[in-house]
Amino acid sequence: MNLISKKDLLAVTGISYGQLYRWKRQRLIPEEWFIKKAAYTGQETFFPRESILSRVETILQLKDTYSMEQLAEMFSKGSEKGPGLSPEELATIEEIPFEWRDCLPQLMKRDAITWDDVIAAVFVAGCAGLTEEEKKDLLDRMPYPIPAGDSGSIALMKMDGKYHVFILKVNGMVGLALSNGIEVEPKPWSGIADPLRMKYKEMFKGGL
Amino acid sequence: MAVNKIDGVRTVGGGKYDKLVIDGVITVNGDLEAESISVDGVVTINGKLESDSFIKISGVATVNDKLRAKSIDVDGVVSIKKDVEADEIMIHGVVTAKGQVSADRVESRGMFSAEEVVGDKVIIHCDKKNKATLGGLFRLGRDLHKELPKVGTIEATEIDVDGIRVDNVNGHNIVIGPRCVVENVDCTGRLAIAPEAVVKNVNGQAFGK
Repeated sequence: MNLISKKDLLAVTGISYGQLYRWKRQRLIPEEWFIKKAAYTGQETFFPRESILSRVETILQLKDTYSMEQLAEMFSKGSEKGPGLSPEELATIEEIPFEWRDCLPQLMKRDAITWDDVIAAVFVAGCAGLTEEEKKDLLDRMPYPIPAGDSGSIALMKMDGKYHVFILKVNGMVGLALSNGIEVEPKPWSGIADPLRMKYKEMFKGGL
Repeated sequence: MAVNKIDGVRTVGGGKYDKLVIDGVITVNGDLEAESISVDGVVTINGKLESDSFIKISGVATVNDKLRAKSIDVDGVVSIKKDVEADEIMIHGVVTAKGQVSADRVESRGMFSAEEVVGDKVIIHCDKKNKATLGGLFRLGRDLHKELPKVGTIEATEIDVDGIRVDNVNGHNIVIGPRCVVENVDCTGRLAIAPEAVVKNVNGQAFGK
């Protein structure tokens, strides 16, 4: 897993210790992202690089528009049991290919599309080197409900000539070993989710 | 708002209340949550103690889980087994926390020991006056350094400490007072270290106090 130290995080993003810990208390940054490792001074804290940088940027961009409670709810959005996205909302998400937008519930065999489904579909849409049929096959076999969360990751894997989507509840490949020759490059869930939350923040207005 | 009072000598279950006053010798089995909480007497809480407003502890309390409130004010003696979270924590009494203490502002003028203290502004001053009032915890003839309360790590934007032992002090602006023993200091802004303080490793530029 590609990590960034706490000190480097503060230097790169310009946030303070106070902000970092306040956001942790406010559940804007998941506790699991604080990874303690032994260091010569005792212990040092690291973070999954892509997830934390994306999250800090999202918070900095949205903090003047939303309250911290709204942001915390926004970041937890995805696995809610609500009615899902309306067809009108789905139609505005540019990251989903135009030809999928009207029929995404059918492609993913869902009654309604949740934010987690959107994130998974955006991931599949962005997989390079796959044919349209292979992508639609991945959508068709996408697990329901999607067991991800902001601490998780999603990966594409090719096995016996067929592509599969891997969804992990943890960041990276922690606790998972694969046979030699199988290559998997997991992408942090929040790395896909946070830019979408930021771009489509209007969808969250009034609904939180 | 109704005031709920738990008093006498007894064991009760946890629950949710509006305004809660705990007195007497009480054991609470379960999580306790209230709009505001005032604790006196001798209380053991086998669960979390939480309030969206304030918690004031004047007696002797043991919290065997998390302690969380907007504002926490400790005048008595408190032991917390897990994390402490608040916007503001004020300590005049004695606090021992086994987990992470996190708040925008932590100010201790009493005896404060913790595994980790993090936040925006952390002020920990264990001064002579308090030592004298805390039952002679510091006795003449003993090694001062061994008697100082201990904190594992302090990380905050602003740190001001005196009369304390710390393994790691990491912050932006740091002031280390004369009666401190510190293993490692990592400062990204202004650093002031009293000449009498014992500081082993410094990463940053000291300006002097």
